[in-house]
Formats: sequence, C-alpha cells, structure tokens
Amino acid sequence: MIFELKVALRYLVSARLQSGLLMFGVSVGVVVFTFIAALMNGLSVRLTDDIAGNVAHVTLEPELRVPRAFMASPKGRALFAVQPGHDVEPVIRTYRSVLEVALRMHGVRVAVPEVLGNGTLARGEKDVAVTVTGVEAENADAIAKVAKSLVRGRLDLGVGNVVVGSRLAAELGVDVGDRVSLRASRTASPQSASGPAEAVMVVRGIFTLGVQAIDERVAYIDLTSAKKLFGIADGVSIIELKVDDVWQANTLARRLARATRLKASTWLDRNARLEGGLRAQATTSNMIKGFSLLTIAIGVASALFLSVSRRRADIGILRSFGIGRGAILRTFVLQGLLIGAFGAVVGAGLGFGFTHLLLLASLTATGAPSIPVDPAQGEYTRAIVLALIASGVAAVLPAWLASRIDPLEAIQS
Amino acid sequence: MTAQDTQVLVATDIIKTFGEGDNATQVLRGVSATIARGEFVALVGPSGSGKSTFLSIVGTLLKPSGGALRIAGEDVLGLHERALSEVRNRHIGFVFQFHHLLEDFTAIENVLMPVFGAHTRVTGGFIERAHDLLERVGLADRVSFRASKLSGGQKQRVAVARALVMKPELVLADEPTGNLDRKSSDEVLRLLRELSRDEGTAFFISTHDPSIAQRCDRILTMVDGRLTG
Repeated sequence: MIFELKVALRYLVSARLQSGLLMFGVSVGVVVFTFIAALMNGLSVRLTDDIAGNVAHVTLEPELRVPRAFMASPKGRALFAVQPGHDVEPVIRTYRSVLEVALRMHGVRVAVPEVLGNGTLARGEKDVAVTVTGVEAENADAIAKVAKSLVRGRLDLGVGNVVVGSRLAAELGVDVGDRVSLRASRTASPQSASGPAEAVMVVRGIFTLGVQAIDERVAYIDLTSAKKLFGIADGVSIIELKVDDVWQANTLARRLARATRLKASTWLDRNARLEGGLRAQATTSNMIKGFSLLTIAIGVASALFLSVSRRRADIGILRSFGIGRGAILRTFVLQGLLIGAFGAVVGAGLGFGFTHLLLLASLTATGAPSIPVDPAQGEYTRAIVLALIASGVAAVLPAWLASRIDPLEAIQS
Repeated sequence: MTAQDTQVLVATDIIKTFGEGDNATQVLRGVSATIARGEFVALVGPSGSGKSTFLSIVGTLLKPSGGALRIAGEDVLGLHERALSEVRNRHIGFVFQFHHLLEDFTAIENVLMPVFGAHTRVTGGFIERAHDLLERVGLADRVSFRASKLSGGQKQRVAVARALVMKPELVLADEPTGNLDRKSSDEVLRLLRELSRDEGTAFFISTHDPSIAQRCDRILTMVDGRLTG
C-alpha cells in the first residue's frame, strides 16, 4: 500500500490546481450536506420542542365506563341504546401505584397526577368557560413550561391561587392580584345536593405558552383545591408523563397501558400531521443530502477518468515492470479516497463555521435565531463518512478501467 | 550447467496473427531464437517486419498465436496475468525508445519503481543499488531531479538504470537510441555494453541503426515475420 499511496499522493500533488478544485468541489458538497442537516434538523427540533415541549408526551386516563345492558329474556330481541359516562367522571383511584409503575419504566422522565374539569371563571358580570387543571405545586411546571412562559406574576399554586393564560386574562379583564370566582360545571359526585362547587381565587400569574387553546382556556390551580372543587374524594383524572425520547412515546404508551390497564394516548396521536410533516421534511432533507453526495461522486469520478486518461502511459510502463493490476486499481481508488477525505474534512469544518455564522447573523433582539439552524445538528461525522464512501465508490470504475489498460497499447500510444 | 540453463530466452516457432478470417494478418511466421546469459544481441529489419511484435511477445506483454517461449528457463505461455507480471518483474527489464519515465517522480524514484512489483517497501539494499546504477550511468548529481527536468539523453540513462535495478537476466530494448543524437546514442550504447558485461545481463536490442547492430555480439535479421540470419 506504500507504493499505491506514494503514487496517488504524487499524482494529486503534481496536478495541484485540478486536485485543489476537485477537493473544493467535494468540500462544497459537504458544506451543502451539513448546512441542510443543521437547518432541517434544527427546524425539526424546534417544531417538536414547540409542540411536544408544552404538552404531555403520554397521557394515562381511565377507560370510559359503559353501562351494561341487560336483556330481559335470552329468547327475545330488543333494541336499546347505551349512553356512556354521563353521570360520573371516571377517576384513577390507584394513581399512586400507577405513578410508581410509570416512574420505574425506562424512558419516563416525569409523571404528574392531575385533576381535570370544566368550569367557569368569572369576574363581575363577565364569565368564561375554562378547563381547570389541578396539579401539585411542585409539578406545576413539569408538563407545560408555565414558569418560563409567565408574562406577569409568578407560578404560585398555593391554596386559593389561580394561574391563567394571557388570552383568558385579557378576555376576563383581570390582572395579577385580582380576585376571580371559579365555579365547577358539575361535581364528580352525583350525590352532591348542593350543586356545583365554587371558590374565590386570586390570580397569581399570567402566562403565554403560545398555544392558543391553552392561553385562552386553561386555569391552573392546586391539586387539593381541584379535588374539592370537582368532588373527587380520592384519585385523579389523568396522569401526564414526559418521556426522554418523544418519538418513543407510542412504544412507551403501549407498555404503560399493558402495565396499568389504563388508556394511554400520546402527543403523536394528537399531532399526526406534524409527524407526517416532519417525515416529509426528513425525506426532502435526505434527498438534498443525497444529491450533494451524488455531485461529489460525479466530480470525483470525472476527475479520475481524466487522470486515468492522462496517466495512461504511466500505467502502461508500471504494468510492464510487473506492477500488478491490483496495485493500479488501489492507486486510483486511493486517489479518490484522498480527495474525498481531504475535501470532506475541510467541508465539514467550513459547514460548521458557516452554520455558526448564519446562526449569529440571524439572532433577533430577544436572542432567539430567526433561522432555525442548529450547528450542533450538522451531522458532520456522517457527512465525512458518506463523502468518503461516495468518493471511494466513484473511484472504483475509473480505477478498474486503469487496471485493465493493456500495457503494450499504452506504451505504444 | 546445461546449455538450457545458460539460455535466458528460448523462443520456438513463434507465430502471431492479428485479426480473424479474411482480415487476419500474420505478422510473425514461426520465429525461433535463443539468447544466452550475458549475450548482446541486435534485432534488425525494415519497419513492419515484426521486430516490435516479437520483442513484445518476448517481454510477455503480448500473447503469441502459437509457438513456445521460455524466459529464464520458465515456460511463460501458459501463465496467467499475475504470474506474467512476476516474470516481467523478476527476469525482464525494458528500455523503450521514448524512455517512458514517470515525469512526476525523481530520477531515483523512477529507478526504484520496479521494486514495488515484488516488494511492499523499498529496502536499503535497493536504494543502494539504485544510487550505484545512477552513478554508473553518470547521473549521480541528478538523483533527486524530477524526470521532467532531465534532458532526453539523461532520461534514457535513467531508463537503463531502471531496467537493471531488479537484476534481470534479460533486458529488452526497443530502439533505445532512436530518439537521441549521435553522441548520446553512442554514450547509451556504451553504457548498455558495459552493464551487460558487468551484470551478466543479456540484452536484446531492436534497432534500425546498422552502427549499433555492428557493435553487438550477434545480429538477428527479421524480414516479413521471419528471422533470416
């Protein structure tokens, strides 16, 4: 291999301009590869974070209980309708053991018990229908990044406090420190004779998560107050989980459903279009990366065809000394690999620098980039390896043709 | 030592036909020749007589259509490509009319090129021999010069050193002085004779130049694909 390396290097060095241009071409291909990877992966991460960042990745809830229908006689035929769950909201009474099971499962980051219920938030004459989320104060920020999204006040879910979305606050015309009345639409207990419960609460914080449905309709209160409000003596409505890998949510949900006998749904079920969109984006990204590799391969192959043609007499003379076909083949494949290696490493470096510059140039006043490029997601190692493979594969045909050159014909010509 | 042992080349009834059917052209019509170790033999004849074809067959660069060929005692006609490469590397050196040096390499690198046909790396012994040969051809001060920087005569002398670096039994030279002026031509021929004598290498030289042929031990004349003398 020393001979092959020596000859390959000498050929590259002696045709400096051609080799330099070729390596630059490979570098440009790798820059395109890494830039597209950094941009598309950055966009994908940002979209996923935006959507999956503030919602539960897996939600565990009790199966809806359907009343049993009794037939009067096994011989008779009857038409009947079943209207499910109209009286009692199902709750997870064994939620503490469910939490234990969930938190032991590999990949589950956090599990939060919550009481959910519909209610009305009122101030003066104005009232707005809301979804009340009762959560333990220490878990208030575990699912949606409420604390980070506060625009006024603080995330204080003590007894008698409520934290609301900014659109809801605007609709009600309330600010931090204002008192509001929270009334449950109905209690969980059908035996409650006193009608829906009501509580006066103080607005402690106002947030903007950027998700209209949450900013407009959600009110956070503490778990105990929510249980009291909705008449749940023991148990919770749902358990929300965050997982380490959002794309593994479906797998984890299936395992959790089997382990807990609860109904498990995922953020992917609710965002099927996002998944489709991200897949389409990944396909587009892969196509562009594929084309950049193809460009590299075509460049290397065409340059080596020229090199083989130029070195025809050299090949003939080397073969006449007894240098084997294998050595000739390896010499030209090595040329391709050297071009690929050098061009790819330089290209990866340039790509890293370029994406960093782009990121810096696109920073807005808030410090967030306007272009979702993420230099850390440039797939530099993959780009180098694939460019190297593309160069090597592209070199095989010209190298094989070089090895098949008839020494006599080459010398005579 | 038998007569066969001393013969580095034994060609018997070599036939070469190019093309097939009506287009077939027979270039060699049963050529037989032997060359002994250390012999200095000229091959003369008019253009198109088949000299270069015969030399190419002897050099195992071209397969004959018929006949038998032994190089350094080894029957080479049945050998496959890799074995033929080894035969060329170990037993045959080439000197061509147009020197055919690798222009991007230095004089000594060119001389050492054949070593890589048999060895993965060049050891000290070969480097010493390459230096010695370049000194003998009068290029001790041009060892590290690129081939592209040498004159025609110098290039041909490097080619002679290259042909001898593996200590072959037979050197085939096709018009080795055809591209040189008279002075350089005489110088190269003197060198070939001297090296043949010192190294015990047989030289088989194809030439148009009668003055070169006359300085050889033996002259073979090729006419219309046959040796006539």
